[in-house]
Amino acid sequence: MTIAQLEQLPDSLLERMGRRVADFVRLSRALSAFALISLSVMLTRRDAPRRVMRPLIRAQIRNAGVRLVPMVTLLGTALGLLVIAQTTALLTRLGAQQYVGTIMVTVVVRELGPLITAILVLARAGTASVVELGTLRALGEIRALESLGIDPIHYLVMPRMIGLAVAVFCLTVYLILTALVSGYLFVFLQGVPLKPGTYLSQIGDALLWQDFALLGLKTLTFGTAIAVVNCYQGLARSLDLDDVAEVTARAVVQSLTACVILDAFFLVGYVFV
Amino acid sequence: MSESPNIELARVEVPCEEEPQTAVVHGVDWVVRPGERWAVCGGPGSGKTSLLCTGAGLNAPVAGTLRAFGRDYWGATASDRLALSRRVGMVFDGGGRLFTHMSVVENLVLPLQYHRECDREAARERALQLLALVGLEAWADAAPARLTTVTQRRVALARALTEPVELLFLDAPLVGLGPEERHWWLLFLRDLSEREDVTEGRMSIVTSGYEFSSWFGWADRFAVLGNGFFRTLEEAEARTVAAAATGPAASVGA
Repeated sequence: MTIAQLEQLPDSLLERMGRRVADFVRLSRALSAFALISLSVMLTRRDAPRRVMRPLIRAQIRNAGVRLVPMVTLLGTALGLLVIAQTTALLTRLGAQQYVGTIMVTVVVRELGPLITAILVLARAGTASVVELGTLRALGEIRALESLGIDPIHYLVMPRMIGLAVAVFCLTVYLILTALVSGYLFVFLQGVPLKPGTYLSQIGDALLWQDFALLGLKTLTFGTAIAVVNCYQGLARSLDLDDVAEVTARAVVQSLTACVILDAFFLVGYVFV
Repeated sequence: MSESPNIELARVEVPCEEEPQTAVVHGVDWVVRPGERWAVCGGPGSGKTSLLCTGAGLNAPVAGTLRAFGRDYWGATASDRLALSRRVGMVFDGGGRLFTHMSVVENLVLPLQYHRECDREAARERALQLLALVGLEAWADAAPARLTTVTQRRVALARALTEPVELLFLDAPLVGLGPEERHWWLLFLRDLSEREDVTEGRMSIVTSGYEFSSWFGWADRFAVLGNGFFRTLEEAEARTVAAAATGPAASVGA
């Protein structure tokens, strides 16, 4: 490597990093603005036509929530088995079976449950939103909505925000319950001396009031963030068929990043509350 | 009925559809009064669609002001803008941009239910009346994709009339039509502004197209677009432009 190349390296690296950071800041600002506009539309449109909006919200809950119940059942069962299988052997060896419930609460209720459910909802409904909205935009139907005095944020984004938030919340609760039941099933089959009452009381002792509040807040935030990112990517510009795959992939990455960053904020909440 | 102009554009820089920050037509001064029938003509790419979308309040001007029914449209609150936009109808070019995932009648039921909170049966009944008005009640439950582009445009016209609009924009309604269909549109538009079952006052109508000749006898005001500028014409001037082989764009100086 020559001196000239060495001199260029930090510049180009810094330049690339700087561009990435600037892009990230620009995107964060655009997404925040879009989220604020969408939330304000949701809160201020009290004259919303219920006969039109309710079926749309129900359809979103059905798509993002009800249709995912079999998959969540499978994953919840697997999650409970995996967590307990990995921990009971160790805890039995240490004579610390009384921490089985605590571990379930820490791992499943606080962290993995909401995150896994959010990823599932993103894969099932979030990506579909990008394609649907992008196609509507490409066909000029968004403009047609505006010409009829129908606000696209109200008609298209709001049902997705509510639908995905409700779906992530409900599916997370269901996944946690499934994981707790399957976890105990494994303990029972392995002959670990842990009675159901003891297991439940361990879980009850490990659960704090903050867990319920933060679980609700976290899942609703994850669902809203997924809806906002995917609707933004679908509506931000017209999509050609060639663009769909790229924009969908970008929306998935951005949604996941948003969920992980939000999760980090909630971790701070667990530490300080 | 309001006696103030339906819309007033003052020194408006009309944005390009694809690039909202770039002006495609410059310095537009234009007033549309109640009951007027405008024919705005220009060649392909002259900015007809952009001008109509800006007049209808769908595009914010790059510069200048748009007043709708006496109020500064872009200076109004979002809810006031929504109320103003309901008094303006728009029929897009081609197939009118129907909602492809809905049936023909559902395309009309959506705005009816959205704005009036009426039950589905009442909205459907009104939608069928409007479809009968444009001669398409037999196609009510068909998917828009089964209709020809020309027929879709009629559905889009019915959809634009779901609200009692006072100002109706039609983007290139006669483009690509055969003689019979063209005759139907001209007859329909002639009677439209007086029909009490679709409008509460005297409706003003703004149409666009490539040439003026189809609109003589229907329109009472004329304007031409070309070389990035907009100019209103007297009928005699419009006839001269129509007769000129060079087309309407040549009559507007840069």
